[in-house]
Amino acid sequence: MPKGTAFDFGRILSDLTGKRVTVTQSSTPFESSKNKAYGVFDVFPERFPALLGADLPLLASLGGALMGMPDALIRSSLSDGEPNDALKDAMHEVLNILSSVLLSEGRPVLRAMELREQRGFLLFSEMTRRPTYQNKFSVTLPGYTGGEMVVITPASRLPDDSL
Amino acid sequence: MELLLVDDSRTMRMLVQRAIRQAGFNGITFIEAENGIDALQKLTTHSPKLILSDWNMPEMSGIDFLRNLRSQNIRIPFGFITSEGSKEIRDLAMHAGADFLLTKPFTPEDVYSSLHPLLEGN
Repeated sequence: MPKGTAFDFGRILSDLTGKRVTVTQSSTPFESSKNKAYGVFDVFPERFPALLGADLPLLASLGGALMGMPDALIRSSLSDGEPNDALKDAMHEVLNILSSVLLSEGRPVLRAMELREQRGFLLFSEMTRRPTYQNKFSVTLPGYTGGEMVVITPASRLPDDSL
Repeated sequence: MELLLVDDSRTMRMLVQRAIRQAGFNGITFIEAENGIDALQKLTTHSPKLILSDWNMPEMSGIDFLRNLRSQNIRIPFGFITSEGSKEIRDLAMHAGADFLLTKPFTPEDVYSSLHPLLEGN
């Protein structure tokens, strides 16, 4: 499966947030259990699923930077449990815009963003119960909390692959 | 002058407004809609000079909204602002009667280049 590159992610996230976002390929295993956010994508025209998992603080940083929110305000919003609606909307938009660099073939369309811990864990488990391609990255941006993210696609595209 | 912004993301509606102002367009009143259905409703009471729309939206997508307008012979200039930038999508948009397609993320300069030919003289 042709993948989006660290360069592609860094470029689009820098353009989006106006910050110098550094993205590097990572070999760190992605911990799916807690404090994560997920974007669920349908990839057209073949219509196979793709999942982008990210540390919740990272996705919140990217959404907050998009809106011009300082890091402290983002952390405060996260400490209340779920991010507030404005931040959630911005995080959703970050995932939407990342769809254009997620893969280098097909047309991923964001179907949903999942922040609930249990549902996110189920999505991850469902996606990885069969062989997958996983493309992992470390992300940093100045003045904000960085983190890890992963793009997961099925190794074989079967009709019942959908999430 | 009124401009209709159609996007289910409140954040993106805000960013588009900011970019249009940064591009140097002043005196614009923004009418906002969350999807194609909402936008059609807004058009019963507003006559915008230009419509800017996202592609993927719940209820009614941007392309269905555009097709609906053109089928009613409503010829208001129409631009897409979307993360969908493939040739296939671009061709669909232009074939349906869009004036331009701007991909996210965009800069004020990108916005200026797309809007200037349509808003020139206003």
